Amino acid sequence: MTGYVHTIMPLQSVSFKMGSPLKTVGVINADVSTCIAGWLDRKPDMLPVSIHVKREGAAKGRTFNVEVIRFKDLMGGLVQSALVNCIDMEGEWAR
Amino acid sequence: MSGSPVYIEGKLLGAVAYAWPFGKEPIAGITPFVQMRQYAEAYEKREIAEKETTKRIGLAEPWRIDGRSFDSVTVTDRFTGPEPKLEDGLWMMPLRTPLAVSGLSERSLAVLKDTLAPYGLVPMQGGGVGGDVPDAEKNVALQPGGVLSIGLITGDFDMSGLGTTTHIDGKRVYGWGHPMMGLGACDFPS
Repeated sequence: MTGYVHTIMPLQSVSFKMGSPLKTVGVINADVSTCIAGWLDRKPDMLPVSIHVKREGAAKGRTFNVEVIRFKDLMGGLVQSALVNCIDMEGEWAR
Repeated sequence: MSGSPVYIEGKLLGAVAYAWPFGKEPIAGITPFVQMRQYAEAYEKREIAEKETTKRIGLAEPWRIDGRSFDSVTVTDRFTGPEPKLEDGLWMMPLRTPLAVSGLSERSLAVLKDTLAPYGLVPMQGGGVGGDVPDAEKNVALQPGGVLSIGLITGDFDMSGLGTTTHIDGKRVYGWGHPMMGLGACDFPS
């Protein structure tokens, strides 16, 4: 994905950047100790996740659609995080 | 930024990948591009326990930096554990991968904190996806020195690792100069 760096956070230890992703332009198919590498103009196989949240007593709810990477060590945590976020955005915690 | 290409007389040497904690001098550790290409084509994979090594390497001649003399440097691949202090001498640490987060609550990030830490992934709130980006920057093509991000979650909210593109050879792209999680073969959006 392309991206945009908003600013650099200067730290005495190790500085880091803050930014946002922009467009998906291909696939990363290698994540090795020296780099990441991939191909432009290809599409990744992601797990589609659709979450519908409806508050008790509300006339209608809200549906969130995301895609999550298919990596078993992280997938459970990422989906759980997405669920918590949807409840925070639309459920009781958002009121 | 990690992955920033380094050239000598117009030839690609490698990518910035390590930094000196507390360093005032513009010195960085570089991953050679030849190793980036070789390892990527072989889908090299290492387990986390194997990756987390720390080695102290003696220097042929002492280095003088900021008025201090050093006769060795410690190189670590560790993301966990205490960070070295100023009095610990010279350390080279891998640059951490910031995870730009847009539209995710603090509670939802707390769920992931322990899961992401061993991989050196640090979630932090970024700008809205495309929201705070100048129009002229939104359609910039991938290019060496530009941002190369990997999406873990994409869609109505987003979580993506950020690094820098090192080299593009036709449709083949290399970046970062270090792994995201060291999985070997993978299938992530780029």
